[in-house]
Amino acid sequence: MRQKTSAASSRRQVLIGAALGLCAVAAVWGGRAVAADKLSYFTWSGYELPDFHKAYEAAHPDSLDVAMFGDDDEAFTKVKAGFRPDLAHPCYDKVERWRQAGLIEPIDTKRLKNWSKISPVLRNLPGLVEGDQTWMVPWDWGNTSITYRTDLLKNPEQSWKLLWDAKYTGKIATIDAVHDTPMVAGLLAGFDPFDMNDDQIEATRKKLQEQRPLLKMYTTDMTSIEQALASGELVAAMTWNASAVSLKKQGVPVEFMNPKEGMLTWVCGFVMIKGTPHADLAYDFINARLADASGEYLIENYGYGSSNADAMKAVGEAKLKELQLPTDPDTMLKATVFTRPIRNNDKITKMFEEVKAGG
Amino acid sequence: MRSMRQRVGRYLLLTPLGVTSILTVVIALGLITVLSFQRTDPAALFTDFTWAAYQDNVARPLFWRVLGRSLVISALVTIVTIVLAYPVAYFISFKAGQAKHILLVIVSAPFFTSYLLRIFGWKIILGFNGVLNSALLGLGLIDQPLAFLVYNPGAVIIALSHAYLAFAILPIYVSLDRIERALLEAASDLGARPASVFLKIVLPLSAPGVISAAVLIFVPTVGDYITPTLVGGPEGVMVANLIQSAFGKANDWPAGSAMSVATILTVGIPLLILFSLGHRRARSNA
Amino acid sequence: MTTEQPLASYLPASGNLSVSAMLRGMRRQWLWFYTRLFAVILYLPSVFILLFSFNSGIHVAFPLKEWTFDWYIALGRNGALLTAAGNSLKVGVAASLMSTTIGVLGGFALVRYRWPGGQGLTALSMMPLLMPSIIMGISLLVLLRTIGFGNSLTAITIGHIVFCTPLSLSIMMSRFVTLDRTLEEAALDLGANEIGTFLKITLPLSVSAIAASIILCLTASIDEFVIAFFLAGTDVTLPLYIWGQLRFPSRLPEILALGSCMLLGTLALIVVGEMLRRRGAAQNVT
Repeated sequence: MRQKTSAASSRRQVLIGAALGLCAVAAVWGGRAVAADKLSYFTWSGYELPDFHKAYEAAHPDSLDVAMFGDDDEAFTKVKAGFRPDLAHPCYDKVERWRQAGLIEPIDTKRLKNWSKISPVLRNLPGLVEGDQTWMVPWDWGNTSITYRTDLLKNPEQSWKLLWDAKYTGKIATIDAVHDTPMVAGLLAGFDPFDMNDDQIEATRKKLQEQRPLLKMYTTDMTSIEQALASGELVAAMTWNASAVSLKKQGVPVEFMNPKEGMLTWVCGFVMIKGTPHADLAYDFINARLADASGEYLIENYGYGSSNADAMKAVGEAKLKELQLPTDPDTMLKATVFTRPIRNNDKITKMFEEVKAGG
Repeated sequence: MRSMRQRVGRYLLLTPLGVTSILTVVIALGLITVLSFQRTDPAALFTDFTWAAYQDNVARPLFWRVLGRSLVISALVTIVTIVLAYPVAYFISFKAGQAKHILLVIVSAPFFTSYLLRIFGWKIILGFNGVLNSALLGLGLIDQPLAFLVYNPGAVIIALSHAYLAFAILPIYVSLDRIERALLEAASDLGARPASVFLKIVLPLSAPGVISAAVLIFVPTVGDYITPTLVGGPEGVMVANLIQSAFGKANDWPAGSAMSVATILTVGIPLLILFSLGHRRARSNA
Repeated sequence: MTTEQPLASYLPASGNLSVSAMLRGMRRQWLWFYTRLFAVILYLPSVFILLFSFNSGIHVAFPLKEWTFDWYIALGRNGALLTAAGNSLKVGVAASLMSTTIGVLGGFALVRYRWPGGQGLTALSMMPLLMPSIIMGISLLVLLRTIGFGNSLTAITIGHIVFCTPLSLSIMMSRFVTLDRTLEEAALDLGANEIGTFLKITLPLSVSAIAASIILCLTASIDEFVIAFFLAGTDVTLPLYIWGQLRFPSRLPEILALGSCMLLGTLALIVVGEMLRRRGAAQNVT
C-alpha cells in the first residue's frame, strides 16, 4: 500500500509537470505566432525553394515565410476562409475566381524590372490585364498531355481519344481537375471547352460518363501515376510534361504525346492578396523571381517553362528539347489549347464531380 | 462551505470539456447550418434563407447512392476491424501480464508513421508489380498480374481497416482491463466453463468498449476522403469526397454544408443515441 | 497479480482436468498464434516501406534495383522534411496530453456527478467525430483568426485537441463508468477530500485507460491532415508535407526513409522502455 501511494504521488508530480510544460510550450508557440515583418508567400509545395529568388534572399535575409498548398483549389478555399498571406501562386484559370471573391488587388507592372522579358503571349492573356490593372504576373508554365508506354502501345494515333479507347479499359488514368479532364472531353465533343453553354456541358457530361468505366483512377497524385506507368499497370495517363521527362530519365520507355487536338498549356503566377502590408517586399520578391537565373533554375530542375523568354534562351536548345519544351514559346503557345478561365466553371466542376461519383 | 467548494471543483472539472465542445460544436454546427440555407451566389450571402442547396444537392439519387456506399464501406470496416482486434485486446488484457503496456505500444507503433506512407505500403503490397502479385506469379498460381487489387472499394476497406486497428484495440482493451478478475474467478469456482465465462461475463462487460470502438471507427471513416482519393478508384468515391469538392473545387459552400448536415443527421443521430444508451446501461449495471 | 495467471487456471481440479487443460492449451496457443499473426499483418506495410527505402530506383515496384543508403543521406540534408516531422511530433504530444487531460476531467465529471443536461453534453462532446473534418477546419480557422491565433502550429494544436477530445472522452468514460466506487467511497470515508481521492485512487486505477487515450490521440494527431491543412501557416506538419510532395515522385524514397526512421525510432524507444521496466522490476524484487 505504501508503495502504491508513493507511486500515485509521483504520478501526480508527473502530471503536474506535464501540464506546466505544456503551458510553457503553448506560450512559446503563441509568442512565435505574432507576425514579424516578413513577406508571407503561399505557393505550391516544391515552389518555395530559395534558388528561385536568390536576389530577394540577399537583399532581405530571413524575411520570407512560406505556406504551401497541394493544389490551387485548396489554396483558394483556405484564403476564402480567412488565411491572409501577402502573395499567392495560383494558376491563370483560377485568377478570375480570386478576383471575383475580392481576395486580390492589382499589381503595378511599372515596378517590375523584367515585365518586358515575359513572353508576349503570356503577358497579353485575356483577363490578366484589364486596362492598367494587372491581376497576375505569369511565372511558370507547362503542358498537359498523355504520357504513354511506347512498348505497350505501338504507334497510337496522336489524339486525346486514346483516353476514351475501350481497348485499354482499366489501364488508363486521368487528372482529377476541372481544367484538365472535362476540358479535353469538351474538346473531343467539338466545343470550345472554355466557353460552353448548358447544352454543351450536358454533351460533355455524356463524354465523361463514357470514359469513367474505362479508367483506373482520377487523381492528381503524380507519384502514383508515374509508379503505375513504370510498372505497366497503366499504359497511358494524362500527365504534365515533367512526368514524361522523369520517367524517361528512369529508363521507362514512354513518350509525351502531341495530340492533334492540341496539348493543354497551363500558366501560373503571382497574385497580390488584397490589403497586404508588405507590398514593397512583395515587389522585390516578384522581381527576384523574374530574374533570368531563377527561370533557368525552374526549367532545368523542374522541366517546366519560364515566363521569362531570356531564361528560355539561356538554357539552350539541346536542354529544352530533352525536356520537351519548345525553343520558341511564342509560336508553340499559339498552337496549344490555353487553359484559361472557364465560363460556367462552377457548373462544370459540379458536373464533373457528379460524373466521378457515378452520376 | 465544503459543499460549495466541492461544487465549484466539479464545475472546474467540466469546464475544459465544456469549452472545447461548445467552442467547436456550436460554432462549427452553427456555421454549416446557417450556410446550408444560403444561396450559392456569394453576393447573395445572408440575404435570405432558402432550401435551394438541399434541393439541388441532397434531394437527388446520386447523393444517397454515394452516402449509402459510404455507410456500407464504413460498416464493413468497423466490423472487420473489431473482429480482428478483439482477440488481440483480449490477449493483451488477460494474458500479457506485466508486458501489457509494452504490447499496447507495440500494436500502436506502426501508426506513428504517417498514414499517407502506410497507404504507399499497401500499394506496394497490392500493386500491379506488388508483393502479392509477385508471390502469386512466382508460385505459378496466376500468369498475369491481378490488376483489381487496388483502386476499388475493396482496397479502401483494407487500407481503412488497417488504419483504424488502434482505434479498436485500445477502447476494447480498456473495457476488458477493468473487468474484475474476482468475478471471473467466482464464476469459475461455481463451475462455469471458460467458454461460458467468456460469453456470459467477459463479452457483455466489454460491450461499452466495443460500442465505443464502433463509434470511433464508423464515424471518422464515413468522413474520410483521403483514402478513397488515393486507393478508391472511380467506384470508391465516398460522401466526404462530395463534401470536400463542394467546399474546394466547386466553390459552393452551401452545397457542401447541406450535404454535411444531411450526413450528420443520417449517421450521427442514431449513433449518438446508441452511444449514450450504451453508457447509461453500463452505468446502471455498475 | 491475478492478471498474471490464465483464466482457466481457476477451474476446479476435477475429473475433466485433462480435457480442460487441453482446451486451455489450445486456447492459449490460438490466441498466442493469432496475436503474432496480427502483429505481422500490422507491420506488413511498414516492412515494405523499410525495404524500399534502400532501393536505388525511385519507382516503388519489384524487382528492386540496387541497395543504397543514399535516401537516408538525402533525408539528413532535407531540413524541411525533418522540421515537418518535428512539428508533427510537437503538435501530437501537446494535443494528446491536453485532450487526455480534458477527457479525464470531463469524463470523470460526467460519469460521477449528476448534471442537468449531462446526456446532452456527452452527445455534444462526441459531435466533433461526426463533423466532416473540412467543416472543423474551416470553422476553426474562422474562429481562431477571430480570437487572434492565426495560422500557426498553436492553431493546429488547438484543432487537434478539439479533434482528439472525443476519442479521449470516449475511452475515459468507458473506464470510469464501471470503476469500482467502493474504493473511492472508502477513501472519502477515511477523511480524504475529493481531490485527494481523485488523484490517489481514481487516477492510479485508470492508468491503462490514460495510456490508451494518449496513444490513440497521438496516432490520430500525427495522421490528421484536413484540419491541419486549414490551420497551418508557414510551419507544416508531416502529412501536409508529404501530401505536397506527392506531386514530386522523385521525393518519395526520402519520405520512405523518414517513415522507416520513425518506425525504427519508435521500436527503439519500446525496447529501451522495456529494458528499463525489467530493471526496475528486478530491483523491486530484491
